Amino acid sequence: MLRVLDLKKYFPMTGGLLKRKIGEVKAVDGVSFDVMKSDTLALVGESGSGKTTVGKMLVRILKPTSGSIFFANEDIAKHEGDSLKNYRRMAQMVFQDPTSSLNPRRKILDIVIDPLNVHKIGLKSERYEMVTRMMDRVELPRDFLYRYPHSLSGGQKQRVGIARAVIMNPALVVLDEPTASLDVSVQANIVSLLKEIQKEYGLTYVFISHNLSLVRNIADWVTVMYLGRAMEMAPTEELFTKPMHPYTIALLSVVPTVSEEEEKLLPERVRLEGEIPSSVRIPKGCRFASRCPKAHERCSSDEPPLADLGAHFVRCHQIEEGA
Amino acid sequence: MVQRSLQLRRYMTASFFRLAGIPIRGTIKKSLRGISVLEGPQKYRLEGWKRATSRFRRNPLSTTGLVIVIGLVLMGLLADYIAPYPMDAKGRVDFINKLLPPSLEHPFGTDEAGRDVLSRIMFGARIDISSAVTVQLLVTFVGVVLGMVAGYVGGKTNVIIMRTADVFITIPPLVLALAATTAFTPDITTAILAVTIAWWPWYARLVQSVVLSVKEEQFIEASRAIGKSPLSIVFGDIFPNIVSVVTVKFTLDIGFVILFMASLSFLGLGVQPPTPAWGTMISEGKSYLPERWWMSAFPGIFILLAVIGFSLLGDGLRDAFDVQLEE
Amino acid sequence: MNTSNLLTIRDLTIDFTTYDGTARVVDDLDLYVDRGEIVSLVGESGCGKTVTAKAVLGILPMPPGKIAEGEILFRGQDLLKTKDKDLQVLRGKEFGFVPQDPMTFLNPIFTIETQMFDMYTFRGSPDVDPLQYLRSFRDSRRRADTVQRALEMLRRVNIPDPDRVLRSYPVELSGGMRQRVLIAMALMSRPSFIIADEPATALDVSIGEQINEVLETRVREEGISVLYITHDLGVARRLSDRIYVMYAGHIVETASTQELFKEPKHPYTLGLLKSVPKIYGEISRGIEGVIPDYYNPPPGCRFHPRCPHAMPVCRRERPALREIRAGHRVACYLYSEEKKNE
Repeated sequence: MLRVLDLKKYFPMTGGLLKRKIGEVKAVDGVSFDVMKSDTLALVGESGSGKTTVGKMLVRILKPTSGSIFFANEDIAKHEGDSLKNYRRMAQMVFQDPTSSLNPRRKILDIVIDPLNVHKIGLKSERYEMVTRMMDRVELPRDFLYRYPHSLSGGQKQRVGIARAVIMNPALVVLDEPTASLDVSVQANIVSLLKEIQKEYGLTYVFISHNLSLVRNIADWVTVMYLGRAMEMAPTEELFTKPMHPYTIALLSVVPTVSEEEEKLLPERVRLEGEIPSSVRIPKGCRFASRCPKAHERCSSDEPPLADLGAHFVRCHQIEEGA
Repeated sequence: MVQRSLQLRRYMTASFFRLAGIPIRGTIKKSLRGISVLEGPQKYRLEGWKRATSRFRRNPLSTTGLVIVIGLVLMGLLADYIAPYPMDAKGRVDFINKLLPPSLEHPFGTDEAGRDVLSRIMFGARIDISSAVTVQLLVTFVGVVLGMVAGYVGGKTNVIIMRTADVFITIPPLVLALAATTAFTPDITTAILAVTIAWWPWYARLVQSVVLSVKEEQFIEASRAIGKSPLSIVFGDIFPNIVSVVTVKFTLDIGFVILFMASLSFLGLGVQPPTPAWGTMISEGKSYLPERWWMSAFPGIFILLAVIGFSLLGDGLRDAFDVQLEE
Repeated sequence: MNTSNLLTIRDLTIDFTTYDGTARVVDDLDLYVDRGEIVSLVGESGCGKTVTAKAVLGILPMPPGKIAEGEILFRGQDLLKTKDKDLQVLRGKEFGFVPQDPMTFLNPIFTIETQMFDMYTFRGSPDVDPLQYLRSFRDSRRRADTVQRALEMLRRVNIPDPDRVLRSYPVELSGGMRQRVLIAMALMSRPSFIIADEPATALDVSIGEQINEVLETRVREEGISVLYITHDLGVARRLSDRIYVMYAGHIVETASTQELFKEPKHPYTLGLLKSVPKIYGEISRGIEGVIPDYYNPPPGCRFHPRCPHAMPVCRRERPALREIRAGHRVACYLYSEEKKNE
């Protein structure tokens, strides 16, 4: 249903007195993946990985510098005007920070009814009904409609965000770390709500997160990103039981666990040295080489291609050779 | 005619509050005809309103400010009815009773033309306050529009508007007003226009900076993701966020504008006799100081009162808005 | 709980008075940290853990906040009864603090070197007058010594290029770097006690892990006691010797790390553990309900509205922390019954 090909997003950097372009931040540097209808794809990575940028491009908050995004056989990467507006009806986003993603000076009712008004869905008289039904679905009391965001808790605000995104019944929902700023117990609540809604409305999710345990619980496919490119892509089960890329293994090894059984399922702790390189000066060769415990000489000179190992993709010289 | 203007005023007040994100009472809403407002439980709207006002009320200073302002406004509006000698403000002179000190018949004494100072002060409130409010309204309108455009559109437009604003800021208002009233007719309209021209850049700057910061917020991104047009984003999402700042500045500045207009009328530019204005009254009375102090003192006290009242009110509003957000 | 502990908190009760009334944000809290231990205070947002930390450090804003009851004993001395001046000296010499957000703790307009120097030189000296401060710039010998010490500290926290870092401004450093600098600053004056308030939460997973590891290594080496505040049970499990689980202002369970994860007892602890997403198995629905309103807390046990095992007695009186196994205490009537039956 969704096919992304070689997506790139470069941000120009201006500097100097005349504000000339002195470089580029290569936030996303060639990412491709497919998402099946009603599936959940997880984009995993740390800061600088580009996962949020990809998400924003999927809902066209940002326009891709190059590459294609095929949605129902149309390349929406280049859409503008009316066709773009039509696409927006189909793809919505749930944002990371519920506090800043809701306008503090507007009532919840106005916030949730917004999409309906913009796209003129239903008759004016019906829209209120649709909103109240949505509130029921996200398990918020109806009288919250007349409140302002500041009087809601983080979890409740996020539910409003979900209501706003889902009210138009889009086909695709991009979730940008929807639970990152929430407490653990609230997080669990929100995630199960998301799963229920997905089933009920047959939604396709692109779930962006850095929390691997969470991803394990919600995703069908996982793409691990580092510095703008995909390092490994596999079905969830496969990725967690047979991780191949050193970065994936390192990430898995530092997942906080609460029991010994869990610990046994994860790889040995790998300590990654150094900092994540800047997206402005992307290192030559494999992007991960500077921190990779298994780096060779070749890793610093040639960038490995994304190898297809049969429903499991890895971008690493070691694997190719070893396999 | 009066009916219409009353309804218009009600509608404007209500829309203002609605846009500002302050919940309005159901009763006001009912008087709006032909405006589609979604119905809903009044109880919750009332609650929000009650919270905002209770916080405001809890601060004795701001309540004092509000009382003073309302008092002065009422005084001006009802001058015809409550002034002991209304004709004294409209051209009557009574040289027999001139220069009388404060007494029971003339609580503030009389001036050099025998006119009752108290009545003139009451009528003076009209001029002073209404001209200040007019200036503020014009300035706010121009400043807000330009500021929002500059802030949201950015780029060259922003530069053009802001640099123009900078130019106007450098012109001292008093000098501009003097120049204007000398070049054109020295009446109140000219004065108002002159102050407006000198004053709008501050509002444009304020609005522009708020818009710039709000523009980066995630809820604006969310609105773009939904597919809202830039115009609808500016007025629907950004505007409510600037209303509080602008309102506060509006209120606080009225005091200053009153003072400024009074200085203008003190210098003889602005209101022409026999219409009373506080500044003019001080000017007329200054040659009789210090023995016959009442002619200048009382108008001066009222100016002071007006400035204090509006300042306290503005401060209180700012606190009320802040707390609402801080919650 | 004996008084030879480094830090002992007893019956701490903190109220916050605002427009909407008085909220009891910390109620009857008991906690202790022994020499050389790492103790975690685990709880979700709003449970009062940061408030407690601030109270220990003495940086709680006192107009809205008020310590209604209790004592905070540091080496036997009650910090709440100590004079401000003496408290400052004590704080400077004995306490270290690693905050959640490194950026807000570092002054953006001064270099790291300046800030480390200031921190080290003026730690624990109240009433530094401006002249004294300016004169410190000219004391080159002292400066050189401090710089050496700073470099050493930065190396200890695994900063690869300490010279460059010293000369940099905070904005030039990454989040992980800044946090390391803060740890170095905290360690510089050889404190005996460090309070770490979610130091790894704002950072990426791999970087956060590095930070936690550095912190752990350094404090174990020097035998520094740590009170580590976090909302992440997994992190607590990794780092600490003992854990306190906090809910709505009081401690509901405490045990050694091993014990707590092997035999969690309190319904809240169980709920939290269930809510943590795991590598295997399904995710739960979380804990029903919301955190209580501190202005009108529920009577009795503050958790009872959300507790699947609530009994009538839970609504009446708050359960006290009772020892059910060695070193394992729970505040829950479910277990006091057990104990009664023993």
